[in-house]
Amino acid sequence: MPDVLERVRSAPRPAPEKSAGITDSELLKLVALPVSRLRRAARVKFRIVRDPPALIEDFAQAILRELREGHRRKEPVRLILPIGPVAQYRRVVEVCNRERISWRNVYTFNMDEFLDWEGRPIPLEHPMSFEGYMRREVFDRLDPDLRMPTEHAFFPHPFRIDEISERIRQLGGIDACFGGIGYHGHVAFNEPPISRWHRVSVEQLRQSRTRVLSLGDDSIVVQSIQCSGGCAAAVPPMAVTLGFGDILQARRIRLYCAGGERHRAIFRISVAGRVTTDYPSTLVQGHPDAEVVTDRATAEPVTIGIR
Amino acid sequence: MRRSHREGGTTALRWWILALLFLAITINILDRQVLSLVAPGLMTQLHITNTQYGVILMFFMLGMTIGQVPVGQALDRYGVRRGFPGLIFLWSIVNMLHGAASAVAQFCGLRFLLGVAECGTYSAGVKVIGQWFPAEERAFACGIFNSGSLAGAIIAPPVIVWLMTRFGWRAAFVLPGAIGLAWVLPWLRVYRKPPATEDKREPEGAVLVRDLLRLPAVWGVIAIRAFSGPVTQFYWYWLPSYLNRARGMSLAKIGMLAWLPFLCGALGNLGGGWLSSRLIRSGWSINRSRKTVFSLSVGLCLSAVLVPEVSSTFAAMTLLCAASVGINSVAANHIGILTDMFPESVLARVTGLTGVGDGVVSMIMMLVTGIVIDHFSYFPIFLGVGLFPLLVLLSLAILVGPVRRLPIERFSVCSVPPSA
Repeated sequence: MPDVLERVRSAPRPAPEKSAGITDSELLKLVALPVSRLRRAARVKFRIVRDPPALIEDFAQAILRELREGHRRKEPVRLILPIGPVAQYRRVVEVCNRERISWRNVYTFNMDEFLDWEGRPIPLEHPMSFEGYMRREVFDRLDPDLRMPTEHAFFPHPFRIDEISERIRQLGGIDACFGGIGYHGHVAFNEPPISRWHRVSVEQLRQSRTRVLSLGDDSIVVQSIQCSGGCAAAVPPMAVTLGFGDILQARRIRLYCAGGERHRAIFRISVAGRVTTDYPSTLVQGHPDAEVVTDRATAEPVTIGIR
Repeated sequence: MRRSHREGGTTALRWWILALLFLAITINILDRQVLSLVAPGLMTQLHITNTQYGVILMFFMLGMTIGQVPVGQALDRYGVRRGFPGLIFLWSIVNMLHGAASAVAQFCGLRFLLGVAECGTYSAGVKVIGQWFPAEERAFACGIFNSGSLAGAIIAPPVIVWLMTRFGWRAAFVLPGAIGLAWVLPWLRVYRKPPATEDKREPEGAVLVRDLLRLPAVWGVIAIRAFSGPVTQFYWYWLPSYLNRARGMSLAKIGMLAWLPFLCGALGNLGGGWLSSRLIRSGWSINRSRKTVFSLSVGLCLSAVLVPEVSSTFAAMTLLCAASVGINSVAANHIGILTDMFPESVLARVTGLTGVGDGVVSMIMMLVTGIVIDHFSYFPIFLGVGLFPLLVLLSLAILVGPVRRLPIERFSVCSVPPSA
């Protein structure tokens, strides 16, 4: 069957993307830069606050600013919100209840959601359900007269995959996208698309839409350390996430990165590394109004050694 | 009361007209640069892929290529007094309409119309200069007219980026369009029918295009432009997106820096022409000096290959500037060898043919660029942009051969009966 073989051999396949990633020497130089030089090398604005509580306060105030601004202009407020960090929501709810800031005209789009091993939604009561958390800990804690209509809160759903992008379009785009930066640079669950079989170019990732994916080992390990005492089996293995296509069209992007020592490298790569799919957070570079906020401990240069 | 341009009354007038021509080409370049500068933001907001952006660019070039002949005929028919402002009015409206577009098909249509309307600027300008300026002043006047495109390219990045960051990408299309509309009024007020000129029209049709295409040297000069023009187009239309999307440069920084390669390009254009004339004056043969300058220029173009490899912005911009100097010097010397090799009677037609070659290859290249960036990265593109000009040298060596005046007149007498 020589012709079959020939066909397989000649089938178009994406070539490995040359010179996409950051080389090791570039990386080691970048993570060791003093903060002053990092500022000069940065391709996206960054701000350093004192410590994690200050960062959470900063995050809460940024969300509150969006809400107040919407009120002032009497326009809908359209936000993309993350789970992780989450402490800011308590503060936001507290201030909203105290100052009577209504969410009636607010639309929220959560970045991502865990799925079970079959790619189906996990129940809202699941301890790792993002939607469950948002409804319980944020929306339901607002005074009843301040709450937004239930249908204003959107969560990516594996069976209605394009619903969010469609709604964002109908509502006229996102005012602000808030998010965290994961250990490997994931924003939402836009993990580095690494596979032995498929390659995704920077531009494909940049235009990516909502999608279902199996989580990478590193994400599962990090989640398990944060949420389940290191029990990786407790972390749902799949997720559905907004793509960069929706995230990058937000008018403002604010990413919060404050994991302390373990986030030092990714913070620096995000703000000053080469744009690459290996670290998806680098894709926010060049956005007209993006900012990364971190704390002093995370902004420190990396020191390498046994301790 | 019609007076010759040599008399006092119209002296000042012809400089006013030249100033308006300068402004016209500045606005022309400003208008066509808006899209490439707003592209990074626009593509994200409207979910336009690079492939689709490539298609949009292709439609502009299609308009430019298809429009040449009918627009030229229309200008001849209606005259420049009404025809030229008509074109500027059309392209300004089309440019402003870009601000209302939101689908790829709309951009394609508008870009096509923009190409059709803008393609006549250069020929109309040259025509006006030919009618208003005495022969000894024409080169200078053409130089000033030409430098309008440099002015456009240099002011475009800061102005457009400022408009875009301040008022959004839609507004960035509207203001340059409005400037174009405003241009029309002084033109209608200032421009009058030219004084009688002593221009003798060249007898046309003495040499048929078909006969020209039998000459390998003609294919050579077509190839040179077809292998260098698309590279210039790449810098025009893809550089801002590259700087923003692959190098993470903010729009503000693009506004501050993106004009540098264009300034260097202008210097390359002047420098390349200057160097070869300098060599010729110092006693080198035309052949040797042109080929030396071509080789040096192509050498500079090679630096583009390294652009995606370097991590510092400074290094990348330096390489881009060097490549831009190189490719524009190639363009200047391409015009140089055209005048070296072809008599005036066929020059316009040969130039037209090289333009067609450039247009066709550029269209293909714009499409390919978008597809490659979407599926792979900018690396293969810069590899191509750096290495493509090597084909210029190859065409020069194989097709053009020694650069010398071709015996076209003799050839035409032998093979084509005079049309009259």
